[in-house]
Amino acid sequence: MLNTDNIIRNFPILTRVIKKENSQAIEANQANGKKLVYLDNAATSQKPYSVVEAISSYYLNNNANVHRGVHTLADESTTIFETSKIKIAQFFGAKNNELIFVRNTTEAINGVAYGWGEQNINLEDVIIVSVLDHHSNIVVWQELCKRKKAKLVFVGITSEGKFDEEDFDEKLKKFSGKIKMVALPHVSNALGSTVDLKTIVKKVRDSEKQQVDKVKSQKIRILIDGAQSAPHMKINFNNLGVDFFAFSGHKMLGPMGIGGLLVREELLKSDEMRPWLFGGGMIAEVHESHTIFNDDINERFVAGTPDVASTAGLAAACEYMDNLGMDNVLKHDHELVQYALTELEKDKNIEIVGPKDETRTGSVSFIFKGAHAHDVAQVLDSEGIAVRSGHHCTMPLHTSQKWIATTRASFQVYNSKEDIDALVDGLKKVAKILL
Amino acid sequence: MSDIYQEDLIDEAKNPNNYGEMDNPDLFSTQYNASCGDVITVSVKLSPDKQVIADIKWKGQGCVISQASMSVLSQKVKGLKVSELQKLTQKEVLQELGLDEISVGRVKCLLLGLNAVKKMTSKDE
Repeated sequence: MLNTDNIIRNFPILTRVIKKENSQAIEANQANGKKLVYLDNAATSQKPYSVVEAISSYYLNNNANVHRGVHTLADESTTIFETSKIKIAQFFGAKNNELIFVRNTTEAINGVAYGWGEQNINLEDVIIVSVLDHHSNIVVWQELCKRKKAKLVFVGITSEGKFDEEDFDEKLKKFSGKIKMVALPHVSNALGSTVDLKTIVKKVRDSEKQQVDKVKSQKIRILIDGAQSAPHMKINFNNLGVDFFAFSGHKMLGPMGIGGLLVREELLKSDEMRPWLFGGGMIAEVHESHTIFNDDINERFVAGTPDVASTAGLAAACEYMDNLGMDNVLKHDHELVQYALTELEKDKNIEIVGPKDETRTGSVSFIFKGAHAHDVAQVLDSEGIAVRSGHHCTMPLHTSQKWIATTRASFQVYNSKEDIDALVDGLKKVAKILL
Repeated sequence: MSDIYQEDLIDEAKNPNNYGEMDNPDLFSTQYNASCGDVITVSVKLSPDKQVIADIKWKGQGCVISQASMSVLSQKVKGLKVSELQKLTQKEVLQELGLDEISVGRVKCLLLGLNAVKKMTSKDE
């Protein structure tokens, strides 16, 4: 396990108290509030000092627009932006060219739909997603399919809550020759199921080769929603074999408002993926009749002034994670997940949803029998424990499993087994009040 | 905010008023709370002149707040003029529940029922 006592010192927010001023505290000694136990990391993580400092230092010392001036501040700002970008791309095992900044995973996926989908998806083409997908990797494709009269096909889950590889095989076969995009989550935000990308990539590439119509056979592009994997495991984009990888900075200790879309360089160079935002910065020449985009891929996808401060903040987050070592980060997470599964299962009121084996990453979700997830979360809050309740932006998953709502505890590097013990104790209070 | 979990409120949610379905309702609607998956199905019978809520039945799955508020609301609107119903506010639903306030995260739960009955009756007007 990581040394969480040391890590917590880097996260001032984790020492705050959750006060319930209007609460008629059940026990008198609760009146002064409870120490925060933050277990809603899959929604957003907390930020270490170094990230906040990178942002404030930029605004206090170096703020100027990038690539647009020759004065000292402009130089400093440009350098901060460019070195941060290099750091972030390296962290993800991608070439600098391959990283496009966006606000978050949702915007990254929308970018693919506009920059790639608009010119590559046609009538009756098929896009494959999974019921495990977050709404952001479903609704975007639904809308594109509507515009193009294409077909959206869902792959189901196994009884354990894992991505159903057999169903995937069947869909690849059934729609062979028509599939143009496979868009899947790396780690499910609702169930923690980890999709084995090596297997997925192999299946997709094999299916490309087996297309009946060799003349019209087409490439299948793979997009991976990495929002829930990037915070916990080493991503080596150039080894993954996927075409697009989307992530959010704010779930991996970075600031809100910055994330990335990684695109294989080949797709950018060949113009298969085009800019979807236009304006200043991304151009080479602008004439009244037409515009020539910037040759430099690094600039072609930066329309308008970028969020330099957040870029610096995200680079600081990558550095923080790097210092911990992503292998240690993943190990820490898996130990917490397994500990939570073991401890929660002892409670007869709790039904765990999703896989229970060592592949589960990031979170543990459950149904508290006899109480709604919102009520569970609200009572836990009175103990200072922050969890998420609801359908976690995975309505198709919840509907398919006939779950009204689930409660999710999700972890980060600063969480310890004591936090899970606090959760287990908190759930005893839930039973006392609600059952 | 654990003080919202008073025993009478939990009782209200567990033993709700006007829970069920009716034959041949004049109005019928299902509302979802998109943020948490709560669902409420409401059936209404109107007076012959269509001005008054003659009877109401509802079914739903959700949290204590959404279920208890729909329960007290169903009592309140029975016999109420549709025009009066349209004027009901968040504050009045809170009052019916015996609460002074509710956290911002629970407003949608509180108003799920009210929005359902308002929506279904405004369509008919």
